[in-house]
Amino acid sequence: MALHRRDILAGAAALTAAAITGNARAQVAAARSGGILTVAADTEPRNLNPAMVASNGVFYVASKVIEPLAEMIDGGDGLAPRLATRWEGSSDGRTVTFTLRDGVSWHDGKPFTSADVDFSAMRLWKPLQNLGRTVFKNLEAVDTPDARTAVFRFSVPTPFQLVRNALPGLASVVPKHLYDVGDIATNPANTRLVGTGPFRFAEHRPGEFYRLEKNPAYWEAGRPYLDQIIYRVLPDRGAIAAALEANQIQLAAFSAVPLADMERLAKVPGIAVIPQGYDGITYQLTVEINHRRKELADARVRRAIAHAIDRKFVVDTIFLGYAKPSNGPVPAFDKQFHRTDLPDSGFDRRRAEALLDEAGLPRGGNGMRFSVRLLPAPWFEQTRQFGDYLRQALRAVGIDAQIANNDPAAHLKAVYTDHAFDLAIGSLVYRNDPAISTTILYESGLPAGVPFSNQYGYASPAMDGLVRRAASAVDPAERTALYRDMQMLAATDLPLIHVAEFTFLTVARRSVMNVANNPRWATSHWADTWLSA
Amino acid sequence: MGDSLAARLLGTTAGLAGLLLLLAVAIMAMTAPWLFPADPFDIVARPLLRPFSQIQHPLGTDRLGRDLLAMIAHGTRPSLVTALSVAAVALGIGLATGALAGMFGGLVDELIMRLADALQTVPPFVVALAVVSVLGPSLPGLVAALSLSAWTAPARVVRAEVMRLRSAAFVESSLLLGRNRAIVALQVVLPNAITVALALAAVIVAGALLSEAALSFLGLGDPNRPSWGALIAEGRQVMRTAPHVIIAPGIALFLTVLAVSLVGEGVAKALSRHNN
Repeated sequence: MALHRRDILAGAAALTAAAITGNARAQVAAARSGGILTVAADTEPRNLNPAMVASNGVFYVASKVIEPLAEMIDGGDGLAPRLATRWEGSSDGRTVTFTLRDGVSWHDGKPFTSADVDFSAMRLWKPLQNLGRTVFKNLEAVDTPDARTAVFRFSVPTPFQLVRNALPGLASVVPKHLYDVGDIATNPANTRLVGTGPFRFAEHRPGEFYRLEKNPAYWEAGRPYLDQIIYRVLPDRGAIAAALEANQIQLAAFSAVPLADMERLAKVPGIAVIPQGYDGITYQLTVEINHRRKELADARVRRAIAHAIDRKFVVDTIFLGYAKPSNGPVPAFDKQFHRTDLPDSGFDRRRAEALLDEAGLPRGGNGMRFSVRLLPAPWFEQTRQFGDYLRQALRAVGIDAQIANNDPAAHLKAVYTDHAFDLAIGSLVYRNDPAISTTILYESGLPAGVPFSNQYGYASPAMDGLVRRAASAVDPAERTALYRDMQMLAATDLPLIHVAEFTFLTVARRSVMNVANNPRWATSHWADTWLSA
Repeated sequence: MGDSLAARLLGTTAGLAGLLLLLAVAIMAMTAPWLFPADPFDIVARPLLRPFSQIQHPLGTDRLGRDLLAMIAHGTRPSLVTALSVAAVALGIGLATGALAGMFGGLVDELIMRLADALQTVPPFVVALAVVSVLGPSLPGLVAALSLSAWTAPARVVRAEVMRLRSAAFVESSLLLGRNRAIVALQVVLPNAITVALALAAVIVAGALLSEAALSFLGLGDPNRPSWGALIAEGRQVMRTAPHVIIAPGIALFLTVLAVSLVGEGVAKALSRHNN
C-alpha cells in the first residue's frame, strides 16, 4: 500500500482531533492490530444502503463500510470530519460548501470524488431516503467545480445548522459508478455494499452472519485495527447473553441482552456493561394520541393522561434505571435546543381525575369514564411492558384501556395508515435536530401512511406556523428560539405525551477496546476499535 | 353403564389422582374472583419479589410488581374454559360426523373422511395460528381455531366403531322398523359408540390447554386477560435472574395437563375393564 504524505497528515489530524475531544476511553498508544471481532446482530435488514434507509439496524452494519461526510463526537462543535474535511454555509442559507477528503478510494479501487457526493445527494438522499426527503427537500443542485469541492445549492433558504446536524446520520456517500446504471432501489450494491470505509463488505449468509474485512487501502493510515468484524445473527435474547458468557461473541449492542440480565452479566469476570455511546441516537418513549377520538381531542384529557403516568416508576421498573423521565419533544442530551423549563406534568392521580371530571367525563356505573384501544409498539420489550403499565395507570383514573398487540407491519398500518387506534405507545428516535425527526410529529397535513409522523389528526395553526418559520430560519439563534417556543407549545398542548428518553447498553468483553467513544458509537465506523491480547 | 364406568374410573389410581387434581384446579378457577377480587394486573409490590418472601404475595411478583399467584389463579379459568369448550365442540362434531360416515358409507363417508384427511395434512398448530391471526384472540376465535383440527380424531374412532355396530342385531332391527338412517345413527348407534370417544376427550383437552398456552406465549392471546402462556413468555425474559416468574405458571400448566392426562388414562383403563 502506497502511503501518501497527505494520508499521514490526515491521520495525524484525526489523532489530534481525538486527543482534543479528551476521550477517556481512547487508548491510541497501546492499540494492537489484528483479530476478529464477533458481535451479535438481532435483525437482518434487507436493504443495507444507509443512503436510502437511515435506520440504526442498517447503520450498525453499514457504517463500517459506507462513510458519512462527518461524524458525531462528544464535545467541541459536536462534529468531526469523515469524507468531508470542511463545511461552510453561506449567510443567506442558499449554499453549503464542502471540501472533500483527498486520496480516498472506493473499495473497488476507483477514486472518490465530488461527483459521488452530488449523485448520492441528488439521487438518493433527497428523493429516496426516509429522513433525507424532508431535510434535502429544497436541495436544487450540487455543483462540483472540482473533484474535491461540492457546493449544495438550495432553492429556498435552508438553515446551515440543520444541514450540519444532518451530516452524521443522513449524509452517507455511495459510489456513483455503481449506482449510475439501472434502478437504484434494486441495485445489487444495496445488499453487497461498496464504500470508502475502514471495512469492506465480504459476505452475508442469511440467517447466519455478515462478514466485513479490513480495508487495507483505508485513507486513515494504520486503521482499522481489526482484521474482520462478524455479525452473528442471533434473534434470541437469551442466546445472546449465553454467547457472550461463552465468549463466542465479544459484543452485543442496542441492549440486545434483556435489561434484567445486565446486573448479573456485569458481575461476570471479563464482561463490561457500558451505558455510553448512544446519546446521539436517543429514543423517546411516547404515548401517541388519536385526536380523532372526541374525548382525546380535549387537551384536559391529554393532560390527565400525562398526570396518570408515574415516570419515576417507568424509569426505575421498566428501564431498571437506564432511562430518564422526559416531558418534552427534545431530549436533554441536545443542549442546542433542549428546554428545561417546560410545565411539569408530574404523577398526580387526583389532578388527573379532576381534569377528567372537568372535561365532562364522570365515572360511569362500572367505575370507568370511557374506554380506549391501546396499541403498544412491538419494537422493544419496554414498549410492550409500558403498555401493560399504562393500562393499569389509566384504569386507576377511570379510563378503561384495552390492549391490542400487533406484529410490526400491522402496528405501522394500524397507527400510521388506518388510524385504527386511540392511544399507541411508540419509541421515536431523536435525530440530532428537531427538523429531522421531531417537527414531522407535530405539523399537520401529512399524507396517511408516513410512518413516525403526525398521523394523530392533530392540527394547530400555531404549531404549523412555528414549524414553518423554523424551517427557513437561517439565523441559528432565531431558529433555536423558534424550536424552544415549539417545545413549550408541545408541552402545553400535549398532542403526544413524552414519558421517558432512553438509550441503550452495550455488553462487551473487556478485551474489546475503544468501545463507546462517540455518541453514535454502535452506528459509527469502528476504525479505532481493537482487541487486546 | 355410566355408574359402573365412573366407579371403575375412581377405582384406578391414575383416575382418582387425576380427578382430585382436576378438582383442585377447577376450585382455583372458580374461587379466583373471590380470593383475588382486585384486578390481577394491578401493580401491588416491588418487581421480581421472590416467592415466599412476603405473605401477601406467596408466589412473588413479576417484572412490573404484579402478584403472580393472582395472575395464575385468574388465568386458570380462561385456560380451562377454552380447553373444555374445544373438547366439547370437537367431540360434538367428531361424534356426529363419525356416526354419519360410519352409518351411511359411500359418498357421505368419502366426503367427511376426505375433509378430515385434508385437515389432518396440515399441522394443527399452524391451522390454529392462522385462524387466530384472522379471528383475533377472543374465546370463540380460539375455540374455533383449536377445534378445527381436533374433531378429526374422534370422527375416525367413532366411524370405525359405528361400522362395527352397524351390523349388530339391534341396529338392523331399528332399520327394519323403517326408521330414518340418520336418526338411527344418532339415536341408536352413537350412544353405544360414545365410550371409545370419551378416552379421546382427555387427549383433546390436554392438547388444547397446551395449544392455548402456546398461542398466548407467542403473543396471540388476549393481552387484557391473565394467561399462563403469556406469563411464561414474560418469565423467559428474566429466566436467569428471576426463574420463579417462569416456573410458577409452568407448574400450573404442567399440573393441569397432568391431571387431564391421568383422568384420560383412568378412563381408558376403566373402559378396557368394562369391555372385558
